Amino acid sequence: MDYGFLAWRGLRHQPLRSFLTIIAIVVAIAAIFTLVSLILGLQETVRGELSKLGTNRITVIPGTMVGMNLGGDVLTEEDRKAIENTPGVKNVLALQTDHATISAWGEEKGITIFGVDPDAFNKTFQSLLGGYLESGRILDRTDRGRYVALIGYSVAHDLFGKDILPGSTVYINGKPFRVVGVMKKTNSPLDAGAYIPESVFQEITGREREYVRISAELAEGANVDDVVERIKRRLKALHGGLENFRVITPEQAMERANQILGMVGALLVTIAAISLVIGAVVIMNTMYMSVTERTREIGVMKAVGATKWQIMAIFLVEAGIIGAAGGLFGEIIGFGIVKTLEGVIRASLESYSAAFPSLLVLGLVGFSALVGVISGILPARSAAELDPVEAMRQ
Amino acid sequence: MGIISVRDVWKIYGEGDAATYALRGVSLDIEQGDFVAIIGPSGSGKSTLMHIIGLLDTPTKGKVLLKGKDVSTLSDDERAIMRRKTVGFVFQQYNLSPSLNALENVELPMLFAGVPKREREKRAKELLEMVGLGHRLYHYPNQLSGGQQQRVAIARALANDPEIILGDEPTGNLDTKTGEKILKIFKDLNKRGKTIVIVTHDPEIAEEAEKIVKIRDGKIEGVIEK
Repeated sequence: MDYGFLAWRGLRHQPLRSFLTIIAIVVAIAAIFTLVSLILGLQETVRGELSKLGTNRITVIPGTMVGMNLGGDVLTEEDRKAIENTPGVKNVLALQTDHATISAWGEEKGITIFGVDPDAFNKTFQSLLGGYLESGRILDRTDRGRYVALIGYSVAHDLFGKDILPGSTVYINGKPFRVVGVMKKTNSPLDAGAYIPESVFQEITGREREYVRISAELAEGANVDDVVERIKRRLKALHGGLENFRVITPEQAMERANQILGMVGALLVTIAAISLVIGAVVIMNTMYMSVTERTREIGVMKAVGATKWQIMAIFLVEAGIIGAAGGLFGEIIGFGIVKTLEGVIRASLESYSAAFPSLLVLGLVGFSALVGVISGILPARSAAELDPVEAMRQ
Repeated sequence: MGIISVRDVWKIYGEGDAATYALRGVSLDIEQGDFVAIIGPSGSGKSTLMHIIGLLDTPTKGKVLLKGKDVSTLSDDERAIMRRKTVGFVFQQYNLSPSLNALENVELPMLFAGVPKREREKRAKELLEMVGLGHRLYHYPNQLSGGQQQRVAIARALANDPEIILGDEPTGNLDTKTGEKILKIFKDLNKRGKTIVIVTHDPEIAEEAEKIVKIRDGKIEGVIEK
């Protein structure tokens, strides 16, 4: 018999009430555990996906903010050449893009088409695009000016009732294109797009040559920061001194993605934490009830020589046990939820796996126990302050 | 000077016109090994006096010396620590913890006193055997008769081997025969050197004591020594 035992007896005294109190904590901890685990997993996955593409690359996009090109800023052929000729740059891939229609198997659908220089595409397919080829071949220099297309995974397998195989003919904006290859699933807009030679792109879209993105593979041993500085200087000169473009390094992209995920995560966890506050209030209420019901017993314990601190310890341990048990069961339930959701996420993001760092697993149980103890402080103090003579009259 | 010395003790509840006088200048000396009965009608202040002697309560005025030490100015915790070593209580309502079995109830004062687990269990068993409950160690209070519960309470009072045992109407809830048995235990303890103070309103029980202190309206009316 010790304080833990006395606390345990206290909990067993009203098993249903103890159980309901624990549930209040279980819900909160399960929610927090699930969110943190899923988001940490997502951050890991983003990091993994980006690092798979290598770090010796940079991307230049028009506009001053990512995803916000309202001012009509563009990248031109001159920019492409300037980047290409920058010391430290090995290969460059400039991308044009437009919406287009694609017809196959008697159906017409909308897709995104990407105009590229076939030779540059060939050289950078592995380094800049990850080498996701499923079947057939990729574009090469012999494709310049020819009506050929390398199509994305969804275009080949999901868009129409039947698959589109390399060697077949599809109609893009009404013009016949021979499909030379199909790409693997990338979980990006590329899946619903097609790469075609840039001269052909100009013909079928009638658009000026404007790039939405110019990616550069850096030479071995080139310093990323130095190359970024050089490119910025050159492009600024070409743009009349304006920095109406952005040069993004993989580190920045990763940082930004994780920053956004972190912010979203923090917001969600904050909301979940509110339920923990409710749980704490429920514990406090339960402990006050427990103290009131056991007033007489507390009086007797004091009469037989318990000090204030000893009385407090019994109730703090009791509240701590509620918190720890809630934390433990919350994590078990949270783990179940995470595993279920992991399966759901994997359906669209194959490399995803939720994260269960030991800091989260142990820390959350510890934190939950601490919340229990803190919630128990006021009720425990009111028990400790009871006058033994008064208490025994109850 | 005795083991317990009460010097002009007053206990006043409330203030001004609403003030209630539970004790009005009580002085009393109890020697080591005494068997004292404090007798008086309800509301006479006898329980208050016992609470003050037993360090459960403090006097408004006056002094209480326990083994020569002034205990009337100690803090709550200091009194709790002194109480556990010096005094054992036996109450009319038994006041056992309903969620603890007989053995655990007896262990409780030793737990607070910091006695190691093994020693606690050994001593609790011995004490329960001594009061004739060796076969009821793991019974809970609601599984025991009134007399049995009171014997557990006596074992608990003896847990830390205090010099003084205080009984607040210890036979009040028991039938005559059972009450006699409980009283016999008190007598045996007295023979072994324990100082016993019993509060009662029952003259027959008081007759068993060596010294009877009569109290009424918060004042000692008289002390009868046999």
